[in-house]
Amino acid sequence: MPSLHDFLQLTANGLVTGSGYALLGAGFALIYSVTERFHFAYGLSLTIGAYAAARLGAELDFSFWAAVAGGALFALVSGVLIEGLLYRPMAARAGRSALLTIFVASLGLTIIGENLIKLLWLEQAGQSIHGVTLKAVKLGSIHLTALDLQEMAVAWILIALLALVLSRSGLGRQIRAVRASTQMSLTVGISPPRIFLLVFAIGSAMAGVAGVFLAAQTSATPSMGYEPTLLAFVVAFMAGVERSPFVVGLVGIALGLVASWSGLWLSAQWSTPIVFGVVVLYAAVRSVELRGRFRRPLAAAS
Amino acid sequence: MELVAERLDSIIVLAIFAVSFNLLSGYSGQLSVAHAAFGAVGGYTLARLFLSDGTQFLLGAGIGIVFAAVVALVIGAVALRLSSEWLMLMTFAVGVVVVSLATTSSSLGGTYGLLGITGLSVFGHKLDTPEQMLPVFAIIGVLVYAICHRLGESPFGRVLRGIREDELAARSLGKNASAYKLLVFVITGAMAGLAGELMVVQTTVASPTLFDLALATVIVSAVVIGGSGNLVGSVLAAALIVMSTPFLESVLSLSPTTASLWQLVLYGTALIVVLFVRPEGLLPEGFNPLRRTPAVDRGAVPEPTLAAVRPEAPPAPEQGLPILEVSGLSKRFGSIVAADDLDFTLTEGAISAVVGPNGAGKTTLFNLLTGTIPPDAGSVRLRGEEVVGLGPDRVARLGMVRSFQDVRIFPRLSVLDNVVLGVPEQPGERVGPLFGRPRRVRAREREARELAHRWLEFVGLDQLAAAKAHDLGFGQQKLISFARVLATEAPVLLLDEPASGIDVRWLEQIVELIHRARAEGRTICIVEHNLEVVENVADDVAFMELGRITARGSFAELTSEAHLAEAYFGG
Amino acid sequence: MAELLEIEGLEGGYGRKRVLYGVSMRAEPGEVVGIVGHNGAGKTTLLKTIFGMLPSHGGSVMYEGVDLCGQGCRKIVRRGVAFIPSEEFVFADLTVIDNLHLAAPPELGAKEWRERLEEIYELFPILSERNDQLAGTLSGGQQRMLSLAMAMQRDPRLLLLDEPSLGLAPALAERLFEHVRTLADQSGQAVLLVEQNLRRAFAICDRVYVMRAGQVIGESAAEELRARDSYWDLF
Repeated sequence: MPSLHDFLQLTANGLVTGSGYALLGAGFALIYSVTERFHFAYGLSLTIGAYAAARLGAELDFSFWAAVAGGALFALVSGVLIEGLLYRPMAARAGRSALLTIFVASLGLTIIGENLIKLLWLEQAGQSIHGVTLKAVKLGSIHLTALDLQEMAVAWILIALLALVLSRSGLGRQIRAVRASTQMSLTVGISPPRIFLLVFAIGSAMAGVAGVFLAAQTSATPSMGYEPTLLAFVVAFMAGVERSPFVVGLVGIALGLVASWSGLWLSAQWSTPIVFGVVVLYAAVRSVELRGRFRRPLAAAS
Repeated sequence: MELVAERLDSIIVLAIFAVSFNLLSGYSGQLSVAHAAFGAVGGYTLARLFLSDGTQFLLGAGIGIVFAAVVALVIGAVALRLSSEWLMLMTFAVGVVVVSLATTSSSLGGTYGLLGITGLSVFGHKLDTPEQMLPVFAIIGVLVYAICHRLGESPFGRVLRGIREDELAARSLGKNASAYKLLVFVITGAMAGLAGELMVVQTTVASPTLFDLALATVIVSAVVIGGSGNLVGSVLAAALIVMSTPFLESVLSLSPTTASLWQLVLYGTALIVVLFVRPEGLLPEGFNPLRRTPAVDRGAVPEPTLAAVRPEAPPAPEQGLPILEVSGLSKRFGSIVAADDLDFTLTEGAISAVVGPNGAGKTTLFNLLTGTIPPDAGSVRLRGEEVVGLGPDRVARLGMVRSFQDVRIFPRLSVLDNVVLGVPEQPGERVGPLFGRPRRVRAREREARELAHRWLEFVGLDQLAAAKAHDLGFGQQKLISFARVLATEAPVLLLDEPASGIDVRWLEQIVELIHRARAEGRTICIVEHNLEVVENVADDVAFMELGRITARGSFAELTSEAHLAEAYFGG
Repeated sequence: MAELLEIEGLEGGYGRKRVLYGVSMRAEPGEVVGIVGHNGAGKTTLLKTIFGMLPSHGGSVMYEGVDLCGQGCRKIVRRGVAFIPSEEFVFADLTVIDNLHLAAPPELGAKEWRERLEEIYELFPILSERNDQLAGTLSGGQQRMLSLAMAMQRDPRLLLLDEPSLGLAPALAERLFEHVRTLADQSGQAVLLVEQNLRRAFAICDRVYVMRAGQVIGESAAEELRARDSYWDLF
């Protein structure tokens, strides 16, 4: 029987990992809701952010926070380049089948990125971030590290910033305009391709930051982006990609808690199948609901 | 020799994955990344049964295939009801769940997997060395290819490609799109399970890394590089991918580790280059080096001529019985009333027209009648049978077929295939007869193609039968969609703006065709803005405004009524 | 007087579907020009091609001496052209004030914009009351007013108006049309008006072009058309 202490500790852990999911989910939801690109290479931007931070620390002696900023910048640039040089011309040519084309291209890109990283650092695939503060912080009986608290704080500050930009600034208004209707945004003189680049920049930078923290918790590895990307997809789609970043973030927290709490009864390895099992279950429930909605008129007629 | 056999075995395994995935994504247009996961289900089942009970290859493989099919059935049934993003998401999730379950579960060997799958045999034929495996793999590979080919390059495959091109249009011709999609998802899932089993036999282990996302990516790559919708291309690409390893190792003399990394970089790059330079892949859909279809010279396309088969002047409409009875039909979209307690009948053998200002709800009326959009209330009786609550495919099979304002042609299919898809009662569109009664399928296919040619002659476009539909002009596409609707033999035809967006010189043809279709005994209802066309075809005209039919009569009667002109032109 | 807009032999369409076959027309400042014709005649395509939403395949659109063909919507908007589409003309998921803000010229300072907004509110008082409401929850007529208000903020010299009365009750449509006429008279902007309701269009137009199957088949003064009692032949 799990104890109250275990429960509290796992809850705290779940809030930390959940904040990471929240950050990733909010970034992906922004990109997807505006561009409708099934951007699997989101995980590549995350990985690039993590490796950039690791190398900046190792070679240029960047402090931890400078490395976080550097990682975000590299990830941002990667996202902008992917959209500008790859997705945009491809989508223009593919027309109706753009969703599939972009997705396949981003799979290819991910494979290239992962293996180039492996080739670049053949001897030292896993890399750590410099200057991480793992000092223990005790809150009652709960043990967390300073890094955990930093991760939560940064994730929610960025989510709040994103929400603020979207709801209050002129650029945010333009983003919401393109998201609502590309055609209408043309009539008020907005250039949707520019907004696409902008959301790729913002979303990728968020992925980069998440990547640096992920690497700081353990280490940067070439394939570190897969699972977080899938989780970002799940969080974004379960919340609804057009919802406020806070809502997306809360779904991230919920998934983080589910993953963590499963540790009360099962070994930690079970958390991944359980999280994704929840997704399958959720989809099943949704599909039954949809079925009900289609059936209703029949009942009304008879 | 052993090395050659090993490479061939690998090619066969990847080819089975790729060919079946191509049937799923290339032919039926469904994108899934669960193929590797289905492979894992099959492979692990075989390994587990062999290790615990000593189950032999055939039985173990059979059970594994069934398991993979069941998993596919569950996933497919859930995901197909949701949007295509959810299909991707679900299949991703299944991939992660399967791999992480295998990694976690100790009875499945954890991270290292189930080892020592050696000593399998088929009818006493051992499967221990690559040479021993080769004949068995080859037989299975040929079998899977043959099945995929039969499913893909047949009336069944034509339906799949129709669904891929335009699901609603396919449903409107009576094809049960969800059933087809689910069936293909399950069949190809089972095939992936089989491929996974061969992979386990070949490597003698069933491990999580064998079936991770890298495998899913290789499968997608093989299909995209080889050519989506071309099975030969998938086999070719599978061979290229497998052979790139020895190439990198020997020619560039890289170490096996670096070579395998470079290989992944290489095919990621190949994937992107192909998407950019040759999006249709090395071998495009329909490309067959042995059987080249003559290119259609668009400049030389003749104008359709109807003179050849002109029938006698259409007989005066008989006072037939009502064939379609609509009562109390209502539909609201938020605050907009699209249909307001609408009553409406169509008389057998007559041509009716619905006219009215933009936004009156005319197209919505067609959507409601055919079950494309479910009404909020009301009844639609087609030849006495209630059709409210049925989908467009059921309504079409019951005898009411509609055309679309924006044609909704199947763009990448040939003109002939567009029309053949309308021909009803094709045994070749069902799996049972396709494999069980090949002779009947062949005979009916010949008939169906002849019928389609006849309908193309009817609209004057038979000389374009081999052209791709998207290569034609809009007016010609309208005529093809007209032929397609006629080919269904449905007694009731709903034509949505048959004349809109058409060159003036085609209008006469359209008018003539509508008359001829009625002479064939069809009941026709058109929605049309071009009043010249309405005047020339309609026996009676219904005037619709704000979701209601407010007047009905002959064209002359309606145009002389003052309130009608008022609604149309403003008061 | 110099023409504001002069279209010569314009060709265009959607992808493979060719819709416009050599359309020519012109408009002067302060003039309301009607474009009528059956559905699918190419009226909307014409407006979208002028506005740069669809590519032109030939011909020219001279506006204040510059050819608009090949320029993006963004540039065309900055040159003082406004387009109000027929079916989707406001951001339904955004608030009224957001809609107005988006359509405001970016070079306008916050204070100047407030002032311009006051003028707009004077014309359309209902909008100031509904400031924070989602535009999609306004009635059809209010949404039309909002779309007009959005376009007016830029003081466009050419307004492209696609079926503004679609889905409006007659009385509301009348009011909207009065607004359009007043705009043209007072601020001297040219209006290209696509409209199904002929009588209503003729009532405020100066000149009318009739289109059929992608071509202009006739041009006449609105006065002459107002005098007729049947228009069946125009379709």
